[in-house]
Amino acid sequence: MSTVETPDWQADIRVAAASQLAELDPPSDELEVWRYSRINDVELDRFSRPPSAVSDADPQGLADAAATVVIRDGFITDVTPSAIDGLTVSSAADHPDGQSLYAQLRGSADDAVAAQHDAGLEAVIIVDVARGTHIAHPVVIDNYSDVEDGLVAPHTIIRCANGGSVNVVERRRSGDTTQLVLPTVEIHAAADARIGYLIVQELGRNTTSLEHLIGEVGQQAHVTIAVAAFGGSYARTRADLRLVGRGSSGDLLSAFFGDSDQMLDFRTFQDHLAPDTTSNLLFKGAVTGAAQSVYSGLIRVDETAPGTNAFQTNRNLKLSEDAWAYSVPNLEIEQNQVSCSHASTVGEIDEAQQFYLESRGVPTDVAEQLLVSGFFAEVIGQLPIPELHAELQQRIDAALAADRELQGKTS
Amino acid sequence: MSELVVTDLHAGVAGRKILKGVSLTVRSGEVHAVMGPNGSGKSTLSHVITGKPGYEVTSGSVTLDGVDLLSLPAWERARAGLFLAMQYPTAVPGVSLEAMLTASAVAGDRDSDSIRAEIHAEAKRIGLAEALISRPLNVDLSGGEKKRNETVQLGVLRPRIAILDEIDSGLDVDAMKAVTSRIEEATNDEEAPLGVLAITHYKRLFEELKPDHVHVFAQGVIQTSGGAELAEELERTGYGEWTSDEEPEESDVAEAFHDPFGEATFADHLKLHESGPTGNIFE
Repeated sequence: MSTVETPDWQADIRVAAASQLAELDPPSDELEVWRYSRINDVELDRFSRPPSAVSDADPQGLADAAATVVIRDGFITDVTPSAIDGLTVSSAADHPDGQSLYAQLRGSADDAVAAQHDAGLEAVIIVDVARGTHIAHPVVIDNYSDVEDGLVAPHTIIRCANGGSVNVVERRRSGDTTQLVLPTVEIHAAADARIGYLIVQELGRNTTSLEHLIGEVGQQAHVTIAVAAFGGSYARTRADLRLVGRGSSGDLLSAFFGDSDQMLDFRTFQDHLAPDTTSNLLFKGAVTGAAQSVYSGLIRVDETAPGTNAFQTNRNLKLSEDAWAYSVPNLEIEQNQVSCSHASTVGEIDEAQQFYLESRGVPTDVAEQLLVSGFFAEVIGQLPIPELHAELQQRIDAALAADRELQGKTS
Repeated sequence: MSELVVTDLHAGVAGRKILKGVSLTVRSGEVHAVMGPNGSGKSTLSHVITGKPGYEVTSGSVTLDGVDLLSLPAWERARAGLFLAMQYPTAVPGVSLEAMLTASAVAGDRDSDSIRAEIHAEAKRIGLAEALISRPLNVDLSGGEKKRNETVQLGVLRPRIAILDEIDSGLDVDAMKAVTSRIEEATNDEEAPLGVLAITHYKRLFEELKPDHVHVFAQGVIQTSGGAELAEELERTGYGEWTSDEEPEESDVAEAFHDPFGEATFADHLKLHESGPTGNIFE
């Protein structure tokens, strides 16, 4: 399989990170950002970057895509370039500023997971939208990997110049082999730009995934970062929304469904660093079987950010006795002129709602399915890329149906 | 011809006795009114018959056309021909009237394609705004809209026996007339006349919906029964004769259920400014 050649600077990053790793402490659940997680069970150094792409899973694109990138086993195997003026989608190798753009938002690796990402670096995709350009159809990045003990560390950079707009969807899938996936995504929205970014995570059940998403939002710009998470054994998403421009705004959204012994782990930061900024967070998830979810979110309002509006809601539906949902919302406010709220709930299917539907002749399992679908409808309706809403709703229905069959609860 | 037979029904909540031997029979085309003071357990009677969770039946039986309802889950009681119009219809975020009735039709082997047309026809008949058909059930609806919605469901589901739990509460005059005249029509249906058990506090319900039998319900039992004239008499004399000094019974355990969904939208959050974390299990 042909793959895109990577430049020397990437090889240098890999080498430097490998030696840095030897000096860094491994992550531990004693640190606040890893609290309640399964990080202690992850042997970071067991995994290594595959020498080449061997998986040839069929790409999952979209009927109408502005551009499509295929990444297999961490290597870029295909880029269908954009035919649209003002949109460039390319490997960092083919980008004039590839090296200087790399890790601009994340900064140099300062922990073992970031260093491991750099050590496994291969695919770096840059999506560039020119000034004032509105890209109607989404850019699709399709990731799949299936190499035993493979380390896959894709890196996506999305940049929208003043007044531009684009939606990007990234699919993350993997086979049954034991793997470590460490994606990093950096989203730059210049003034008045609008970026929607959605991950559809359907990783295999032996894949550990630790991803880091960072969005930096300029004046009057808007960024939506959304994750629909279903797969993985331990799958963690850290999302940093940085509102740096006056009047900027952003949404952090997630719909997740965990079953069997999965752990889905979400850490969010809503950083208000400029006046009159607004952030909305809505994370809704269901856990069943012996699955666990962790939601820990922090709203930080800097003293330089008067007129902040920040909202954070996490709702969890517990569908089985043994499932657990941890929810830890937090606020850190250094400004008086702010309007903030946070709310979190962990609950079972509402008995009164269930009875209402059943009293109309809707069988128990169907009523449950309607209620779970309804629970997710609120967040799914807000996800970027409306073309995918129906697919995601069906994905949740299917996960619930599979679980109910497993528990022998179908009528 | 259908027949709902309640025989010597005893039931309660958490060890507390509320129904203390209720017997009554409702047949197709008949309208039975169960009238009684607030807190007498009238709603409990409707909930126990329709299978709402949280109640404990200690003795007695309820059958519909010979089928033992008490052994069936709520949805099978509905399929057997029972309907409950709730006093406070539950808000169900994310589920529309159309989605619910379609699911019910599929389960009941009815043609789900024609359900949509039926819902629209019933909504028009009863004056329910068409936009509400596809909106989440009972979310942000007025009292009148909720009861019209319940009545649309009754019209579409075509039950044999309907229990109306305080259907007159929270209704303006127009909605009252629309709802009660639609139900009265159903009781006069030539092919399958509806039997009605109407639980109420006031007789204003009976301007359109004409009761054949009136039962006075107090202290967990039917104290006396009569014809329509008994409702007139109660309006004049009140329930004093049948109530004792006992404290009112728990009449509506339903409203005590919490709502873990708490479907707040971002707009709702604006009202929540000062709220602290809720449901944080680490606290």
